[in-house]
Amino acid sequence: MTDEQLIQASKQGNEQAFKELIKRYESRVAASVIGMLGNCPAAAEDVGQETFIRFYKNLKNFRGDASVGTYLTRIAINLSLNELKRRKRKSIIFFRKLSDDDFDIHDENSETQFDDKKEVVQHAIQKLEPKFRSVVVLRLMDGYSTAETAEILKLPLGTVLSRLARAQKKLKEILSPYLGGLK
Amino acid sequence: MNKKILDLLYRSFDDELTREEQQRLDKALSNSKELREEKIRIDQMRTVISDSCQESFHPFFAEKVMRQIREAERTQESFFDSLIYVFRPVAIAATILFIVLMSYNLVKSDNISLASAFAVPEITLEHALDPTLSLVME
Repeated sequence: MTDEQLIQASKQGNEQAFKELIKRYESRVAASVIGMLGNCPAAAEDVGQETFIRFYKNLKNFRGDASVGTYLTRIAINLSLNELKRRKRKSIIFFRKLSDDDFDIHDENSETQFDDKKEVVQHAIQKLEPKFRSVVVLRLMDGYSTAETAEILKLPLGTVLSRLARAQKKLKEILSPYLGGLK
Repeated sequence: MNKKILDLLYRSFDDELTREEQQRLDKALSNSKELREEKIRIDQMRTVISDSCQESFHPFFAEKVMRQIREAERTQESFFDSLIYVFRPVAIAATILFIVLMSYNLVKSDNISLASAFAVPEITLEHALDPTLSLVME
């Protein structure tokens, strides 16, 4: 069945059809959410679930202007950004005001902690500010084109390109000690 | 390393360069070993990042989402059920009271009209437009 057929069936209350859509797009949503929030299983899965619940509630308004994957990714990224803002607010309330530099957490022993390649990359991505993180996740991890990334984030193409370049420079700085061993 | 060329190198991975820009970059790459190494490092980093993409939640993710959707719908239904349960007797009592009052007004009044049913004094258009007229009448 095509996505359109599954959506039509879901709109008519067919639960199996919507379940099929979830299975079809779970990996894409997981890649975006885990990329944005880091491998924090509970939070990432909550945001993932919320993404599909929002999609279900808005099925009536879905007219197919964007593909299902793009639409879901947009919801996932927005919810992830909200979650990051919530975390930051929580930190401000309970600890102290965080500046953007605070995303760059310094851990003296970090270089010796990681064995797994995914963990190293995740750690490096979490050091980026959310606005840079979102372009890296969409373009480099999820494999969207720069135009699609701009469409999902509702940003001009030039902004996406400049954020990508800045994010990559920062990532290269963070990852350079590991790059030889990560091949 | 020339910053402009470095920016061009980064952009070349994500954007289509103009012919002139591409020629400039190719020339710089052929002249600079450092830039060639930088290109390899960027390429390597991008591969590492795309390979590290994690693409699944815990098992039975779809089932969990469906359960949440059903629960949310059930909660919404039970909320409306509660509203109906609370307001139905109030609505019935209000309707009965309304009918009784209308009947009483109609019995007390000489003529049968909507205005007398609602016990509203009959005002003509002239009275409404000219308030002094009603004062004179009084």
